[in-house]
Amino acid sequence: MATIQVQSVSHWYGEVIGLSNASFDVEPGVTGLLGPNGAGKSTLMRILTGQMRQSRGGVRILGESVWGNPDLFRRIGYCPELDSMYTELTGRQFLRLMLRLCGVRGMEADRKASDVLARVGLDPDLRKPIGAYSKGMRQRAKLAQALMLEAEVLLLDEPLNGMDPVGRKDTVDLIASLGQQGHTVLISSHILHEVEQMTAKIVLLHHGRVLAQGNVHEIRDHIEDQARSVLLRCVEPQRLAAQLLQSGEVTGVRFTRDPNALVVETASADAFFQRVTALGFSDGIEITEVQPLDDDLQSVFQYLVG
Amino acid sequence: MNLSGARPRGPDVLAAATLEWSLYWRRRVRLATVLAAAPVLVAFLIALLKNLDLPGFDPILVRGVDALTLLFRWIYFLGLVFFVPLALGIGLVSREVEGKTLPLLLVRPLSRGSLLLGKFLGASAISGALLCGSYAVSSLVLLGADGFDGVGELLPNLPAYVFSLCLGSLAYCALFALLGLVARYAVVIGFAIFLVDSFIAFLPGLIRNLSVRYHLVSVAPDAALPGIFQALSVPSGVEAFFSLSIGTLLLLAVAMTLFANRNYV
Repeated sequence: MATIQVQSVSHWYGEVIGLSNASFDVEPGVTGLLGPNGAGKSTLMRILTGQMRQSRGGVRILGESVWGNPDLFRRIGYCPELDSMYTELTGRQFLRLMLRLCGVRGMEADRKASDVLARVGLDPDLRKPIGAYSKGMRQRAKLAQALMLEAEVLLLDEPLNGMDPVGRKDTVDLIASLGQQGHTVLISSHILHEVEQMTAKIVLLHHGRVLAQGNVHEIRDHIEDQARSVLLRCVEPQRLAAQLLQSGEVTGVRFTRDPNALVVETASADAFFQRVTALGFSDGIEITEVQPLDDDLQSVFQYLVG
Repeated sequence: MNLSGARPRGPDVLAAATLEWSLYWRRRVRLATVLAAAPVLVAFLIALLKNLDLPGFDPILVRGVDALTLLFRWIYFLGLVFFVPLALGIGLVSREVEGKTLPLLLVRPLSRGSLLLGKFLGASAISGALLCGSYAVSSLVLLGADGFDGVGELLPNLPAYVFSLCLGSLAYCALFALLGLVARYAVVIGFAIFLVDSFIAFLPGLIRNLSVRYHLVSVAPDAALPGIFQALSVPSGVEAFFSLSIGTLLLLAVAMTLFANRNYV
């Protein structure tokens, strides 16, 4: 049975639509909620966490309705997107107060606070107030309050924002392990490759609609049929362009202001990349850089919406 | 209308009150503390002037207990019992919204009613503690300047004074908790309420029952300004206590129901 059920959910902000008839299920494990800014991810997260009630449709988590059901939040952990916390408190004080609101007090609250701070890579005995933390440390503290109750369901809204590479890797590993342990983790992001490191299961949102859902590789296969732009940097771009245009994979070439670069349009990315690799070795063209220009999620969405 | 989300539970209310209390004392900017400290400074100034024994100094201020009575009437009763709860109550929810910390509270296993009621009780406790603490320090300073000669005169009025400060804290905090939820320019409206609340106390008929100050006068009649508030046909202390209590509960019930049913985006 799905842990999170979103059934025909729509939400309007006045006359502006935030979510339009969104339906999907989330099962145990990690699922990525992907979409560019303004896609409706945060609206959905707010509805899932009972901060606001959807205009239409139904949301159930662990079989229960979310709105006006505070007891359900013993089983849900939420990491909000906004970088706002009680900056006067230390990490431990913050967690103790949050635990107190969850009915955990005294020594048990102290133990849980220390454990979860250590788990996200923060020193439990750090006396610095949160206001003096780096953005990455604040993200970790925010993640800690989501994990403190060891909830079955974790809703993480852009938890990797502002983290340094080491923190990002640690957090990715932590989230992936939580999924493997059987937690249901719904993680929102606008960066595809971040989510790919944790899961292959995604829900794509765009303009408030569920554009695609399922395995990320299947969705990418769909994109492979569309034209893609790739920047190539080499010593002799004219010679490379001539070689590439002889192949069927390349549909267009344009030169840039950089005398050592060209942009290639291809309709068959896999075959194109294989050919570039072969050319780079066999013809001595010395390709120094291959950079897909539209590999970000925004481009993926543009392909999907035509 | 979701009434179950407004229903409070004792331990949750206590946890939310603890949160409000703890956060207040750790906050860098504490307007309410500054307000409460003002009469203490005035008391120190009076004590200093008395010791300097300046020529032409108003003789009414010669006795510390008289100075204290004036301080209570003009600063605590007329001003601070209103403005300290204003500084605390109006931001119970809006401060969390502006600081973007509300989501951290709304996703806890406690009803929104418990959260708001707890925060209200925390704010009222802070207000009461600040007002009573400030009054205690002012008393020590002014009476101490006279070698505590006037203590005997102060003691009979002290329970009513402290009670009026605490009851005023509760009633005004409830009023401003609701105002902070429904009004955009709540501080400006709060100042307008200060004038209206004092003015309608003098109006004939039932309307003056809407004034918190009208009831507070009955709780601490000696604190009322002689010849002004005392001219009112005020209710008895017991009537005033029940009226203020019922009014406070009604304001809180409305605030909790609104808070429980509002979308926070």
